[in-house]
Amino acid sequence: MCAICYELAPEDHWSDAVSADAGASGATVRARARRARILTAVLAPYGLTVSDPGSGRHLTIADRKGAAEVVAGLPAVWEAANRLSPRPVDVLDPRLLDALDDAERR
Amino acid sequence: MSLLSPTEAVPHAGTASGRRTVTLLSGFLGSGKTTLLRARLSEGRTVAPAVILNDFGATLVDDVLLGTEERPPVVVSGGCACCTRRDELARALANLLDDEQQGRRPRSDSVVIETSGLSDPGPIAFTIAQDPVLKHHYALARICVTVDAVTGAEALRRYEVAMRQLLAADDVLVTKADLVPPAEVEQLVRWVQRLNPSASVAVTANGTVLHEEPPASSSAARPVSELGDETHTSAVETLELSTDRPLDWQALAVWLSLLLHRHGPDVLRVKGVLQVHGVGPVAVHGVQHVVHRPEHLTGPVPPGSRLVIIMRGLDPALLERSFRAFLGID
Repeated sequence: MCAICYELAPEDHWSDAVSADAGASGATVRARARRARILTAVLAPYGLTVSDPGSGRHLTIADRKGAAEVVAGLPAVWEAANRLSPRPVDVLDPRLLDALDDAERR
Repeated sequence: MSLLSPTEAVPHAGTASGRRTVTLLSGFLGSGKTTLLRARLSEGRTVAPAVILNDFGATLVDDVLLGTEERPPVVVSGGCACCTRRDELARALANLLDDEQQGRRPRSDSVVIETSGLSDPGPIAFTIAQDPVLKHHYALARICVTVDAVTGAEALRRYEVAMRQLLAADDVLVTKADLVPPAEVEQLVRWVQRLNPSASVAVTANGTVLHEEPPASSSAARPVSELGDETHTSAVETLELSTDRPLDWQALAVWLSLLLHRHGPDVLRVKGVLQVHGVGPVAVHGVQHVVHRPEHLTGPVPPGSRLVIIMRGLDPALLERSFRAFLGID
């Protein structure tokens, strides 16, 4: 827990090791923004949005009806997304892959 | 062979972590793990590793065979270090640190854990990677797995855990090669390479390495059921994903974490050396759903990125399409 803001810190995750090791604080900010952008693209086909408050380690995952969860770390993102989405978020979902391919062509 | 000196034979040696290296010595019951370890320990290297010995039975004899007065093996008995004795394994590793700091034991920069013949390496790797104390002091370097030349093929066909051990291996040691005709050893080696092309294979007899073969790797997805109707292996496939362009770490991390979150039980092994954009070469290493902290590499590595995935029941074409689609996110 953060002693200043009482925010519960998630366990270290392997996915955070590389950008964190990159050094400069600017690199960390860029990595965070890039991750939010990728998650936005991945969760959009499931009707979910991703927003980054810009402080702490948390992201907000929300559906179109206003339900939202605040999460930290990729495992928590997928758990929240599966609770909020009407269908399972799957890396092999053809509809997800079609959406990503369409976005790349545009 | 890198059994007791994990950084010697690792192509991506030279990681920057500074933690003690852990080598898991696994293999099915009676496949020659202790014989091999005894032979290696008797080579009399200047700095011997600490040895942790795990056995399914409550009464051990191997500790007598492996011990020295200065460095007796630490014993975790009466169950497997992957399940019932998992906490004890963590305690044993923590106690090693304590003993070294208190001067009761000389410092070892490497540890060999000889697992019981029924242990699954995945949960043991998880223990080392996730324990809040241990993960700062130990890094899993290699998983070495023994396969008995006499009974190994049958064990792989019949026992799920034997297959799990093999698929988790970085180095496979085919043991007791002096007890069967060379042609049978050769056939077993080829099968092992088909099952786990990311592992090196060494042929041994009485703990002595006769010859070694580098990882076969693979250029495309391929099934491994070449020896008839093995129900355990028929759905196992290996996929090598590669790209020449510097890799977007965030895209790879999101993709791999979702793959493991959704299909973790079907992903048996992940292993790769990646050229990460803005960072440089990074080694990624996972056993089943456990991914270890990626390591920045300081030594020379081949150009481009290669990620080998050994999986069960997943469509390799769809997986490759997914990999490319995630890397293509703008």
